[in-house]
Amino acid sequence: MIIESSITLDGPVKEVWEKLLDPACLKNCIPGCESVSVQSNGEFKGTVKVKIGPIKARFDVVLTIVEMQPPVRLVSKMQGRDRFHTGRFTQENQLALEEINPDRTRLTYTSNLSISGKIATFGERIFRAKAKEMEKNFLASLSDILKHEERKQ
Amino acid sequence: MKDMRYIRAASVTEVTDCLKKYGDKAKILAGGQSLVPLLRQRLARPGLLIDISRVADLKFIRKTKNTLKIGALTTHRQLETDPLIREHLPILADMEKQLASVQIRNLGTLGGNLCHADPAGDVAPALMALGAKLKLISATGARTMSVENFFKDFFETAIRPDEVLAEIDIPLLPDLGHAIYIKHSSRGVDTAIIGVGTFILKDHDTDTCKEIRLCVGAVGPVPIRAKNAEAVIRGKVVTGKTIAEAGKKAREEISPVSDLQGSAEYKKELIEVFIQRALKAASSGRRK
Repeated sequence: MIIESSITLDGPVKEVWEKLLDPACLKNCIPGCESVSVQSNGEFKGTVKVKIGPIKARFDVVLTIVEMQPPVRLVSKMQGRDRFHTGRFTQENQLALEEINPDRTRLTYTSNLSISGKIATFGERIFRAKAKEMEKNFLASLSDILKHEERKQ
Repeated sequence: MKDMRYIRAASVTEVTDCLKKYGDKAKILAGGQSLVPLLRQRLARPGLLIDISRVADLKFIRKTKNTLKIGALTTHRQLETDPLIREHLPILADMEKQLASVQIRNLGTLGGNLCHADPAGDVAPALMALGAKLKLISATGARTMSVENFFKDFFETAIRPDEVLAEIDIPLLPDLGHAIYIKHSSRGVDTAIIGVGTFILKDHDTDTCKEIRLCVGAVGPVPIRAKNAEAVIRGKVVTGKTIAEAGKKAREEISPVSDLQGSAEYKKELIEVFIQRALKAASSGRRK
């Protein structure tokens, strides 16, 4: 499934870039995220809890940066595996930042999500919609954090 | 594998007492047609199963002056075949005929279907169109809620962990009121790609539409009222032109998501076509 999105954020390109790679900010923005840490090899590791009615999954997620052109382009690959062995997902992300003016940045995002295992056979249509909702909430939280960020004039 | 306790409750009081004690650790098992596959796949792992299938107080279909009261444990098959339902709310019998297979309808219950809150469920759009109310009981008391306010998200409802759905209260159709449910699925037994529940009440003298509810299922996290489409029809004589306009409005106001059942664009087309079909049938008094 392809998820595409674009949003205009408050803040200069460099600051948006830093936020996107800041584990504390990611933890606050990703819905259901319990922890995020950066490993010595540059990988991001974390756990994300997803609940849809009676279905509960806790994913151990690893995000690997494939290509990086600071502060405008980031290509990454994310893999998640549920601790209760109900399924896994892989997600290939391409993210671009573009300066609109010195205080505003456009974030464009394309992501290809694949879900496998029991959660895919049982609730594919639900997880797809849930993934879209999570992505929307992530961008809304990021936008909110940047809006309330104190900046030096 | 995690241990799971099992209690077979004999009365509503026993159910509410258990729920009060165990809260969201417990899960209610009624007909088991949605929950058992989830348990089997280990997708749901409750600490306690409260089996309510033997609670006789929750199995009834009763007619009062203005409503039909249906116990939450009434099976789909009973709804499909019950003479009271066929006489007073044929939309429910027609809807049930389109719901899954006879084997599932024999065991699956009305309350279980609602509480599972599958967005592609057939029952919810039909009950929403009829303006049905739900009675929820807990150890501390009872409250009623409209079906429309019951659904919150994919598989999420407004029911609290200490509550059980006991009764579904459906107003009888007024004279000149018509309600129908139509759906589209790949095969007859499959879940809906779209389901539309419609209720229309016409004015006796002017033939204009006095009241309308258009409820669309399977195109969002919860069943949706197509309120802009309703506004096109309300207060007007239902004609081919207003029906076409209402279909377009519904297409604009609902944003389905692409999935294996079809693309978002295909589903938008289905919304327009099925709203039109439902309006045509309901306004002419046909059952389908």
